[in-house]
Parts: sequence; structure tokens; C-alpha cells
Amino acid sequence: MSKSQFAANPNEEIRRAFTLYAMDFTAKEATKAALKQNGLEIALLEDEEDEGMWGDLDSIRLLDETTQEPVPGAVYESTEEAIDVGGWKPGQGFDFVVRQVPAKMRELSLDELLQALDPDGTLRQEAQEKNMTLPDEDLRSLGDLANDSVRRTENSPRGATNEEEAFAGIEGKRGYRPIHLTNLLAQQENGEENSESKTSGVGLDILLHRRHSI
Amino acid sequence: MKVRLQVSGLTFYYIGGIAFENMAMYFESQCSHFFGFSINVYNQNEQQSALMHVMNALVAHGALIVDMTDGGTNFDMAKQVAGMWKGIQDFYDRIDQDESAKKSLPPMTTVMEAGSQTAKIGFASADNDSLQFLETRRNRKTRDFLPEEVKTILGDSTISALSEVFDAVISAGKSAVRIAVAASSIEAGAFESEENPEAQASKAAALMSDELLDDGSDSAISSGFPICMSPHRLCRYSNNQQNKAPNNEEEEEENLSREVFGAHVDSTWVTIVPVAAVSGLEVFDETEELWYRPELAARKYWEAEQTKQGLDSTSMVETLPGEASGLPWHSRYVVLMPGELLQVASRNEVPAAVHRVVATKDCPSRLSAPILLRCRPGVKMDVDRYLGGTGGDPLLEQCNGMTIEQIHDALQPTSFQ
Repeated sequence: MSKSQFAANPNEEIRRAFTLYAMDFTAKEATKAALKQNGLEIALLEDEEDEGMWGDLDSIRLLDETTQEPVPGAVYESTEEAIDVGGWKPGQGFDFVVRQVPAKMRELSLDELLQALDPDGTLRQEAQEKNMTLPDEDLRSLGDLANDSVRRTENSPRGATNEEEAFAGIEGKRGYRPIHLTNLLAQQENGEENSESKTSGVGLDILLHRRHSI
Repeated sequence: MKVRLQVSGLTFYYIGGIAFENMAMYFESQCSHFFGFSINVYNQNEQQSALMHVMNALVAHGALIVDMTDGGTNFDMAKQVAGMWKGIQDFYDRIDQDESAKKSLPPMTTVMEAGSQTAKIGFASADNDSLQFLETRRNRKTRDFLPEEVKTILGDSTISALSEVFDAVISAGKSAVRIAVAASSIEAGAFESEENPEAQASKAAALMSDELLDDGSDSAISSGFPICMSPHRLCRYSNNQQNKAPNNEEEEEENLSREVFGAHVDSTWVTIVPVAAVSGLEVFDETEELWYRPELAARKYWEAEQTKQGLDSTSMVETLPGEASGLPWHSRYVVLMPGELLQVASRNEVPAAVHRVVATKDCPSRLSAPILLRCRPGVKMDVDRYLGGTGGDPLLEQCNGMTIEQIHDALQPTSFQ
């Protein structure tokens, strides 16, 4: 389908915009996958997220929909050309070259990191035999909890500062503010009312009702 | 669908496709959502706000600050706290000035009447007197504090203040435990087979806090053990270390401020620390990944409130209406920190707070009077009764039916067993 064909009809204009978006999106996702395989991840600023702004595509070769081989001879220098001239449609495969993609080293997830450090599970097995809990495992026993407490304690920083440099919470944030004693005790009184009344009550009830509606 | 992922001590919840860093954040989100539907009953809002406040403080920051005066409306307890501080100051002044008084203090000894070999009373000091502890425990029947010598050392008025403070702050601690346990039971779906499960969770948590937590009362449950398991520790922390001459600025700074009581967690339900005049308690804030000084936060909050009310925030003294003398600013606040027993009962939702004490050279010593809220001796954990069943939680399955002493033994790290 040519550009003139799109232009002849407003619906076709919309279809072309959609097709351009679909091709750009497909190329971006393929690029992300390729970066991931190489230990990288795309790192875009807000305005680079837009269509066509995340990298420079060229050398696009459409794949034959039956054989999945590149269509001989036809190489396009932009997505617009691949669509307007080559007639690319969503769902059709294509090869491409992309340059100038902002990327950074990918931060491994905890699972990936542990997998990389212990690919055959030997260290995990050894840890289990010694009743140690790896960071991605739930606590399985009171002993695990105690060991986890030791780990958290040992991992806390050792240095100390004077009062002027100490962290005193974040002003205005609820959890750092003092709570009034009566508000703390009122929760208890109210809870007792709840247990007596069997009505929906207040306080904890609200949480439960909201949780169910998620 | 909800998926849970534990990463380095933080729990992430994926609920409806949104990741919540912790339960407190989830609660916050739910509350905002709820209020978005314009349900606006004053009392509901108040209750909801308090619940979220408690969970956010305990889960995300490891410490909850409580204002015992309700924002300056009732100073009765603050007066008792001020009396306690004066008594502790007098005690340490006395042992500084009178070596024979110091020598007359009973050394730390086991008090088997509390029901545990780990229960101690007496005086100890370490690290060139950087740490000094007077460990006291209440006699349930007489309501006196042990060791016997404290009556003479501290005097009747201080003992009376200690007793009042002990009761009041333990009451606050029990409430916080109850709220956290009930919220965790509801979150875990406990009691769902019963009518009004949230009320049942609340009732069961109240039962648990009354039956398991040792508030020093003369309960039939603890009748065989006349001494309270929850100690009231009267401490003084100073930076008395004799340092080498520093070689550079970094070493000089290290010499000035240091850990005098290293990072640790407590085997308690909660540890309750009346806010001291000199800040030094630091709790590891799991959200900010920083050492957080709740006593400094309390002071900054107090100063801001004083300024708002047009009062002098620099005097560090609370002016009481109609009274000539004021109270030290910090007398109104206590800090609650969750311990390992709360971590177990909350199904690992409220982590035990990693905390330490820091002291700075050439600064006044920090007096502290923490109460470590522990279990009544001889009682057993009944998970069905208190928590609505284990729900498959391996920690609860293990401790179900155990005595508290057995749970305590099982909570020792592998290297100590």
C-alpha cells in the first residue's frame, strides 16, 4: 500500500499511523530483547520514549510471510519506506539495523544474580545443609529467622555519625511522626467493640473490605 | 492474584499488577483508594489512620514514636516519666561520686523466679564504663522492683515513678503488638471461615497480648513465677573509649562518634524506649536503608510543634499550664521497636528492628530506660487461638504448641546452637 493510498482516505491515514506505531513498537521490543541477551537494557529519557526517537533504524529487510526468509533485493532505510513502499503489515517479520540506542548495563534481578553465581545449585544445596537461608528464600524455621536476623544485623553499616548528620526521618511522612497514645489504645477498644458487635465495624474491617474488592 | 517476593529483607507485593514495597505501603494505598469513594465517617478515618500509622512505622522504619500526652493535652504520665529520669540521673551521679555506693551494687545474677535461666537482675558495666546497666524486674505480687537494693539506691519516689511508667508504656506496647498481629492475620486470610473474620482476628490478637505478653501483672497464668520476664533496664551510655591520636580527619570523626552498643535485634515482642534527652538510639530504616534516630525525630517534631504554638522551642522544657516548673521536652515520648516474637506472630510481616546505640565523645552521656516486653513464663503458643491457624506458615507450624522457652531456644542462630 502506498503513501498516496493512505492519504486518499482519512481512515487510511489512521491505519498508516497505527502501522507505523506497530512497526516501531515491534522493533523496539526486539531491540530490548537483544540488549537483554547482552546484559544491557534500554535507557531512555522521557522524550526518547516517543515513536522513532529511541534509535535510528535502517537497512530494514522484510521477511517472506511463508518462508520467513528476507525478500530478495528490497532494503528500506526507514519504517515509513518499509510500509509505504514495501507494504509491511503488522505481524510480518523483518530484519533491521538500529543505531544510537541509549543503553546501560542491566541490573540483574536477585534470582538472576543468584543463578549467575550458582548456576548448578551447588551453593544453594550447601547452604541448605548448613541451615542457611538465601536471600530469595522464605524463612522455613525459627532458626532461619534467627540466622536472618544475624545477616541483617551484620549487613547494617558500621560507621557512626554525630547528631547533626544523623537521619531523623522525613518531615511530614506518617510513619516518622509521633502517634497519640489514645489513638493507639483506641484501636484496642474499638477492636473489642468489633468482636462484640459482629457488625462490619470500623478499623481493620475497612482493610478487609478493600482487599476483597481488588 | 497476589505474588510475593522477598528481597534482602524487604517484601514486595504484586497486587493487581502494582508492586508495593511493604504491607504498610499496601495499606496506605488501600486507604487512599477507600477514601476516594467518599466514605467519610470521622471515627473510621481516625481508626484507619492509626492502624496505617502503626504498620507503616513498624514495617518500613522499625520504630513507632508514641506521644504519651496526646499532643500536650494530658501531662500526668509525662510527669511520672520526668520523675523517673530524675531518679536515674541521681543514681548515676551518686555512683560517679561515691565509689563505695558503686561497689555496693549487686552484680548481674540469674533470677530463676522469673522462669528462665536468661532472666537477670543487677548491675553491670563494660567498655571502660561506656555501657552501664542496672537490670530491674518487677515482683508481680508486691509490685516492687528487684534487686532489693534498688529501693535504697533509687528511693521511693523514683520507684513509684518507675512503676507508673512501666505500666503505661507496657500498655502502649501491648496495643501496638495487638494491632500489628491482627492486621497480619487479616492480611494472611486467617479466620476467613468464620463470620466477621476481621473482628475475630482483632479479638484473638487481644487475647494473645493479654495471655502471652508479660506486663508484670499478677496473672494466674504466671502464678508459679513471681518475677516478671520483661525487664526494665536503667542504662547509661557514654563514649569513654581511650582513642589513639587520629591520623586523619576520617579517624578523628570515627573517634568522636561510635557504636557503644552494637547492632542487634531483640528477642522481644516490642522493646519500648522512653525517649532520652540525648539522642543515640539508632534503628536501621529498611525503607531508606539508613540508620534512623527516632529520638532526634521526636525532638524535631516537638520543636516544630512548639514553634507552631508560638512557644519557645529552644528551652527544651515543656511549659505546663498553671505550674511554675516545666518538664524536660522528651518526657512525653516513647519509641516502640518490634522484636523477633512479633516477627513470628505477624507471619514475618513486621521484621524485628535492627538497632544500636551510638555515643559521641564530649557529649553528655545518654541515659536510657528501655522495657523489653517479653513472654509470660510457662505459657504455650496456641496458633489457632491467637492467630486463626498457621495458614501453612512454617514458622507458626514449628512454634505451635511450644512453650515460650522452647521458642526462645529455637530462635538462636545456628552459630550459637
